[in-house]
Amino acid sequence: MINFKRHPQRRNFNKGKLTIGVFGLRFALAIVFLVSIVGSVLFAVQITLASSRMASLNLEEKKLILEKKELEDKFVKGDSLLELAAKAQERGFYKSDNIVYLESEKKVAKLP
Amino acid sequence: MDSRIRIISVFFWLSFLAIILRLFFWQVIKARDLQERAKGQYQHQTEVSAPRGQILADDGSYLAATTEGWLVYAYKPEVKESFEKIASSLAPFLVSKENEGESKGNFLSELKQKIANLLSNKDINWVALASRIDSETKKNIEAMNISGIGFEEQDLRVYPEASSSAHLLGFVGKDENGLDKGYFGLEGYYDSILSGRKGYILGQKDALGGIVFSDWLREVGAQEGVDLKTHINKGLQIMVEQKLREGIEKYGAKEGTVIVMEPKTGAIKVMASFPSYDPFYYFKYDDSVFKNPAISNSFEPGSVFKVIVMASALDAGVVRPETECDICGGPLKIDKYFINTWNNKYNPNSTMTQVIVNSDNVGMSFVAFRLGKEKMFDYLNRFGFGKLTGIDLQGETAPPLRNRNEWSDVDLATASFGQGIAVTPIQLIKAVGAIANRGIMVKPVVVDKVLIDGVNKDIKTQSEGRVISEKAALEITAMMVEAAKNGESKWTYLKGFKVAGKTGTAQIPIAGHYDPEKTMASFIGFAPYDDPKFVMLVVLSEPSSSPWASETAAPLWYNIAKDLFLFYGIHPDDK
Repeated sequence: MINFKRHPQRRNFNKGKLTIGVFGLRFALAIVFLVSIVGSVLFAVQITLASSRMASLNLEEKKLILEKKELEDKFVKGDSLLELAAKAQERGFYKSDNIVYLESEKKVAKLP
Repeated sequence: MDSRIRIISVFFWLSFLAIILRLFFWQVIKARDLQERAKGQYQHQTEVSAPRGQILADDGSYLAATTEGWLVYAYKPEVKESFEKIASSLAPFLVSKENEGESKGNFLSELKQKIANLLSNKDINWVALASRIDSETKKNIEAMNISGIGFEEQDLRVYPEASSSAHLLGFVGKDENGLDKGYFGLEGYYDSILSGRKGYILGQKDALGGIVFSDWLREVGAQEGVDLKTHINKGLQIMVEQKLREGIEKYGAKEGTVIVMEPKTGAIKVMASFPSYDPFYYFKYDDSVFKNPAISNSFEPGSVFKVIVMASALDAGVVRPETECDICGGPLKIDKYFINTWNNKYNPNSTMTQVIVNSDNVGMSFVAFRLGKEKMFDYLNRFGFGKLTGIDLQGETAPPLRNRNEWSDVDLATASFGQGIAVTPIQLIKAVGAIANRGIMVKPVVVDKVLIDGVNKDIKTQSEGRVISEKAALEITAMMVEAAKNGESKWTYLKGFKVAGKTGTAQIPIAGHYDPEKTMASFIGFAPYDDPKFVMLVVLSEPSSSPWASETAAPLWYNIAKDLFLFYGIHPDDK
């Protein structure tokens, strides 16, 4: 342990430094406090903004998914060949009962 | 004074202790429980659905697809109208297409009553009224603006062609935990890859339920089910089903099955069976109808089996097409049994080709005895009888072959003309497919490609090796051509088309004996015989217009083949 009484000069020196140190510490703490308050406000604002952006994106995604599903639904329903055949028949399209195969005559050299 | 201060200080200390104890209780003993309850308030979990994969036809059109469906529910505390009025408003929209028609009126009043009863149940506040309704119905119900009626989203497995391909596709039902599960056919066989895996988004929410962006946000991505592209041609499938239905009516058959396969690749182009069911309304049918007769029903094939036994004998070198049968002059006696021909007409010294053309049971017994029990067993094994074909459909069965050392002379003789031996339609078409493919057997397959994230993974043709020599395959093919042209079904033969085929009329075993009235009529053939594009099997169960395949299954085969010739671009060029 240092005996300050036996070394007054040293004590003064230390005392002066200590005064500056306390002031500096308080100042630093105040700065940190302010920065943290501003920081947390900014952070909260940032989070709120990001969250609201995310919420609106989520909403939009949900709408798009719903729309996609509805379109797919229509597409699948419209893909029915049986329904198409029924509609075609309603409009007068009929499948031929008889298939006629035509054969082209092969040309060969022959006497008239 | 001191005592008062002491009392107050004791009181404070006790209060302080009580608070400490209470805090200890909440923060230490109940900590976990409270944490969980708090999480429930601020934690947000969303399920990301993994839609079941689609099943597509060969042109990419849908055979089975997953669309948006809804569950309609009523939350009774918010219901303002009378239950009867709600039931009357909802019922017309909840009548399924299956119940439209003459009985719609009855069903409607039953449904109204059912909804009113559900709503009247005093023990529950939340009542599920109907599930699996489509978006259009949901919109119609929403438009009525009935308070207390809500919707919950659910995946809806739809089959655009209704009952078409039902046995091939199977259906999606529920497992013991209430989750979707594929049963039968492709839905059952490929269930694990069609299903996919659900994902989750875990995060925090604010007081209004909105997601709060924070480092708490976790996402486990959903893995969608894969899509399957099959070899099935929708147009052909529908055409065959229509003709099969007409054929069953025309010939008064009980059931019917048609399979069309490409012999070089094993690709199943068509698989149709009647009676059938609508996989969307699977719950309305009896369990027995779900079984696919083409892969699950075994039957005694009758004379169509003669081509397998003759092919084996030709390959073994025990007969040649011109070998004469020296026992064909009359019935053949084996032990206490007599082997007769189907028409009781006997053809002495028939050649092997004539044995096939005349569908001669005595001639086939001659072939079987030349082949012997050991070789017969080996060849039947090689052709895949007694074991599964390995087709990619759930529910395949394989009737066992009689053990090698259990064959008697009678068994050998009757097996040569397809009696006393059971096969499935898919086994039979696979075996005859090997003949059409010049002796090389391929595994039948329904799925052509598996589509994973837009990348196609081909299912390659699986060759199972050579069963008989090319020479033997060509010889039996020539015999089948003669049988188609000059056999008992010659009246229905399409002149000019290169068809190789064989009829089969088998008696049906019932309680240890053969029913004298009932038969299984079948016709198997391929075309063009010199470069086969398809092999087709038609089986009609118990036709009543005629017991003979030549008058039932054969004309139906040619009726369907007419359209297959168009599809494959086969012209009548057989001179």
